[in-house]
Amino acid sequence: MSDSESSVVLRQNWAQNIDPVTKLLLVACVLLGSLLYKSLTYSLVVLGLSVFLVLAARIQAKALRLIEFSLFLIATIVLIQGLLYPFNRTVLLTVFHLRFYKEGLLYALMLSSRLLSIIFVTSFFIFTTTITENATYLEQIGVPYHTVYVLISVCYILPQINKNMRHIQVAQRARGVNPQSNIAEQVRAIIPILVPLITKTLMQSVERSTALQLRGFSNPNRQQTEKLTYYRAELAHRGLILLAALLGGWKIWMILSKLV
Amino acid sequence: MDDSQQISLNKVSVAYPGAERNQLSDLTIKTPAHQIIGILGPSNSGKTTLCRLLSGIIPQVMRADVQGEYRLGTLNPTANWAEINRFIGYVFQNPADQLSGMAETVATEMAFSLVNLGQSASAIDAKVRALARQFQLIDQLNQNPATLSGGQMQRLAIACALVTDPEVLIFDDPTSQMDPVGTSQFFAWLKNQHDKTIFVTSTNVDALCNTVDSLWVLNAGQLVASGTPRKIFNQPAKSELIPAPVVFNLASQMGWALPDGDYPVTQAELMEATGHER
Amino acid sequence: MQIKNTNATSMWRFKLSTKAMVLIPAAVGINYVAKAFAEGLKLPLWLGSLGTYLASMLAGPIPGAISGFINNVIYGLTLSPISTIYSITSIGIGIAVGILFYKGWFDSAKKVWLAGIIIALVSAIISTPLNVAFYGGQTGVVWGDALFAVLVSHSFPVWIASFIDEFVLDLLDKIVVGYLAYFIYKQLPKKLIYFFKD
Repeated sequence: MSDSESSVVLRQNWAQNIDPVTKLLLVACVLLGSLLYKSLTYSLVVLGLSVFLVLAARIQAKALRLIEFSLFLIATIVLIQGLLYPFNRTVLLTVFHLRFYKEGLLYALMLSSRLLSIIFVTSFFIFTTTITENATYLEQIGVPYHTVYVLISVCYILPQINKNMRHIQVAQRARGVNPQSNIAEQVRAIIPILVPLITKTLMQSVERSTALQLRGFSNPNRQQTEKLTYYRAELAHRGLILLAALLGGWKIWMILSKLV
Repeated sequence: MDDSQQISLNKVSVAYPGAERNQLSDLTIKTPAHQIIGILGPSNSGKTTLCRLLSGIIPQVMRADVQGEYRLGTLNPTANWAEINRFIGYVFQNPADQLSGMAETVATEMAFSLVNLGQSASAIDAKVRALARQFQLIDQLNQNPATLSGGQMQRLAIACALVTDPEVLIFDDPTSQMDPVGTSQFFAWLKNQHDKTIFVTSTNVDALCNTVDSLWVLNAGQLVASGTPRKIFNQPAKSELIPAPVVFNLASQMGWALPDGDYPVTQAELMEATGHER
Repeated sequence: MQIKNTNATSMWRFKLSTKAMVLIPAAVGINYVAKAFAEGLKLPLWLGSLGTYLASMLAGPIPGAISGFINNVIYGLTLSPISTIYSITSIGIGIAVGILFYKGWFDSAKKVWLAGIIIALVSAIISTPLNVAFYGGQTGVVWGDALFAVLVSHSFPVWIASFIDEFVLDLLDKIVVGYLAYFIYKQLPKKLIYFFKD
C-alpha cells in the first residue's frame, strides 16, 4: 500500500482494475511457487513473470528502489555460496586466491531470483493500491471492521511515530551517545528516551480505544457508503486460492515422497 | 423539577484499580439538566475522571471502583453503549488522540460517527458540510487530519463530537491547544448552545465564569464549591483553594459592587457594577 | 472491587476487543521505534520485537502473536517484502513471551535472562528453516553470516551452521529486548496495565 493520490474513481492504470485481494493472493502464489523447485531455470521463469508484471504496470522505478535494501544481502549470498556451497566442484573464477565455484554461484543465482520475484510481485501490490482502497475493499468483502482497523491503523501510526522519533533523535544526538561504550551502556542510554515515548504511545492507544467506542465504533449497524467494483474479482480469488492450494499441496507431496 | 431533568450525584467516589487513594471522594450535588456546567479545578483534581464517569467511560471502558449513585437526567450510558454517540459527544483534552486513525481526509474523519450509525451518504455529506462551515474547516475537508494545526485539530475534534447532534456534550479542557482568539471564539460559541446539557472542564476561571450557568469546583477529588459563579465567589466563607476571576478581584479591590452587594464575576456584570450598563 | 483471580484458561481467552485492537498498532509502532534506535545507534541487535513483547505482557500471548504477525505482514507490504515470511517467527515470539510472562518468568531481573534464552531458542528454531530456504542459511546480519561462513568452511552441515548463526544473534537480541521490556513494563502507569488486562 502506498500513499499515492490516485482516487478510487479515477483509474489510469489497468492494474487499478484488479482488486487488492487478488494482488495479495498473487504474492502468496509466487511465494509458494518459488519454493516449488530448486532448479535455476524454474526460478528464472518465476522471476521473469514477476518482472513482466512490474513492467506492465509501469512501476519499475519504484520497484527498483525497493530492491535496493536487499542488494547487499544478495551480494553476500553470492559471495558465501560461491565460495562455500557444499556441492562445489567446478571452479569458475579465481579472485585474490579465492576460488568461486560454478555450482555455488548458480545456487546463489537461484536464491536471488526467488527473493527478487517475491519483492517484485509485492511491489505490484504496494504501488498499485492505496491504503483507503484496501481498507474499503476489505470491509466490503466482509472482513470484520475491527480487523480492518487493526491492519490499516498500523499504516497510519508509523508516520505519526516517525514524527515523534525525529524530535527524539535530535535530542539523542545532543545528549551524545558515546560510541565507545559497550552494548549494555548504550542500551541503558536509550532508556530515558525510549520509556516516555513508549508510555506515551500506549496511553494514546488507550485514549484512542475510548474515543472510538464513544464514536459508536462497536455499532453493528455500521454501513459503508461507497462500493468498489473490480474486474472479475470473485473469479480471480477462487482461481488464485485454488492455485495456492495446489502449489502448497504439490510441495508437501514432494517432501513426503522423498521421505518415504 | 423531577429527577429526569436533573444531573445528580450522591456520595460518589471513584478509585482506579491499584491506586492508593480515591480519585473522586464523596461527591454529592444536584444540578438541573439542559445547562452549561463548568468544572473547575487544578490538574489532577479529578476533572477528567468525573467526565469519564458522566459519559459512561467508567465503567464501560475503564475499570474503576465506583461507589454511590449518580444519574445524568434520562440518560443511561451503559444501557445503550453501541449507540452512545447519538446521545453523548465527548471531546478529549488532546485532539490528536481522539482521531479515528482511519481517515485520510477531514471529511471522512467527521463522517466517522455517522457511518457507524449507518446513515446514508447524502445525509452524511450534508451534515459534514454544515459543520465544516460552522467550524471554518471547509477548506480543509480534503486534507489529511494529521496535517492540521493544533487549533484546527481541536475544532475538528469538536465538530466530530457534534456531528450526531447529541443531547449531552462533555468537553475535557477543549481549549488547551488554542490561542486566545480561538479560546474566546469557542466560549462565545458555547454560550450560544441551548437545550443541551454541556459539561466543560477547564482551568480558565475567567472564561468559565463568563459562559457557564453552574460551576462545580473540584480540588483533590472533592467538591469544594458549587452553584452559579456569582454565588460561589461571593460566599463569605470562601475557601482559598478557588482562584477567583480577574473581574472579581478587580471589582472587589476597587469596591465596584453590584446593587445587591455581590461583586461581579463576568464582564457583563462588571459593566453593570461600574454603572456602564447598555 | 478487587481484580478477580485469573484462572488457568484465561491466558488464552481472546476476542478482538477494541482494546486489543488499539494495542496491536501501538505494539507495531513500538517495534518500529526500537528497530530504528538499534539501526541509528548501529547496535548489533534488531530490537524489533520490543512492541511484541510488551503486547504479550500487557494482554496475553494471542494479542502478542497477532502484533508480531501483523508487524511483519505490514512491513512486508509497505517497506521490505521479505519480512512477510518471518511473520511466523514473530508469532512464535509473541506466544513464547506471553506464556513465560504468565508463568512469572518476567517477575525478577534474574529470571529474565532465562526467559530470553528460551525465546531465543524458539525464534532460532522457527527462523532457521526459513533462512535455509530463502537465504541459503544466512541471516542477513553481517557478523552472524561471517560466523556462518567460518562454520561452513569447516565442513559444518548447512542446517547446523545456520542454526548457530541465528541462535547466537537471537540470544543477544532476545535477552536485551527481554530486559528492556521488563524494565519498561515496571515503569508503565498502573492504569495502563489494568486497562489491557481484560
